[in-house]
Amino acid sequence: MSNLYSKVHRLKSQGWTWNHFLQQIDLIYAGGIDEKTLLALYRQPHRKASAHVNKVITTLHDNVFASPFPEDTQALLAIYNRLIHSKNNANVADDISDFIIFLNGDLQHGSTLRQARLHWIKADIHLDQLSNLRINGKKLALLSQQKLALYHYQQSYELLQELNSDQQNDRYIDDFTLYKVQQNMLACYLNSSHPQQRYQDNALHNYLLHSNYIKDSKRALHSEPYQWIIARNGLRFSSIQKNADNCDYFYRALISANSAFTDYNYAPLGAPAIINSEDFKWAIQQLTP
Amino acid sequence: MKTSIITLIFLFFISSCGFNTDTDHLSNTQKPTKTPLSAEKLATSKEETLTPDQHLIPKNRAIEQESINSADIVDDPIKPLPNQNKTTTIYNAKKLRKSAEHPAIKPIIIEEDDMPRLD
Repeated sequence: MSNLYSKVHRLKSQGWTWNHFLQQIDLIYAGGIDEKTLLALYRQPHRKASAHVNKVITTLHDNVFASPFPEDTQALLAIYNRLIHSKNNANVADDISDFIIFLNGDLQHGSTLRQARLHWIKADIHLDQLSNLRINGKKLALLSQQKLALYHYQQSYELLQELNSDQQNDRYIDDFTLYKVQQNMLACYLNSSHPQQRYQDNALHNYLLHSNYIKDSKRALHSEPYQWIIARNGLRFSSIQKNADNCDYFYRALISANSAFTDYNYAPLGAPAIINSEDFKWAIQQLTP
Repeated sequence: MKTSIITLIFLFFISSCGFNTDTDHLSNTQKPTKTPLSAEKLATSKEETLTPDQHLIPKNRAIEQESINSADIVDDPIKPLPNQNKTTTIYNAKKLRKSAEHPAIKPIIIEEDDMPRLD
């Protein structure tokens, strides 16, 4: 769940009335939040909330839909996210290097679930470098970081699957969590490739061909149809694969998630309009009558 | 007698040519064209129409600001030496090249339509 639109929808889809929703918010923060703000976040994927509203809704969401991962690993991820997004920290590179040293040592300890999450976090660190390295033309470093990111996501995925196949394990890892690891692996291929070369990128095509990404995306959308990010990415990779049927499927899913996407120029929060992205060029040609 | 006549003629010649010994050592660009008095005058005339907020500005600063803004009292600007200009250009180009490159590790760049990670 990476945006407030999805979080609000996910909470509302439990059958909550707006009054109940507002009461639950009051329990998190006594001052509550304005009903109009909540409705706007529910209706508009481009709506940006204040830091305070963001925190209140995220806390409520995380209370209701608790992460399957241990609390200490979630805290580590939160520290890393704050670090990578900090604007005025001149020592980010050093801090992240130290963070990796800690992770390397800690990877050997704890439960399988904990190890899976630590591999995930380590993979995140490598994935986050890919766009920068590609833009700066550092090809060797790019390939090295991509390889490391893929290795750690793969480790995480295998450990999580191992948990699900263990009869004695009482904690089942849900499909959406597994989908997220798969999407991150795909991001390792996509973000390493220049936008102009993605239609011809063999590694990317190979991964799409041999993974269940498209099938799993459809399954995730079936249970959470408001997830415009999943629909948008499905449309993107169907376009790169030049698959007209899948383009049609994911475009319908996208406009079902929110009708604002009928306008190709619509830019939701955190993503450009599809008309401005090379990845969607083929799909738009197919969809435009 | 003859000498005094020559002296008189010489003095007359000097005065008729308009040489001013006081400012003779100054070039045209160095001549002071604004006086503190005129600046003060400007400041005083402005003070009459100041809003309450503007009164917070110290008077000296107001004078300075007004002097800078007055186009009629601005002389030829001091032009940088050709070499100085060249150095600045090189420095800026270096600076631009440096800023064009993204730092090795810094916030996640989603400039193009890259895929953000999911956690």
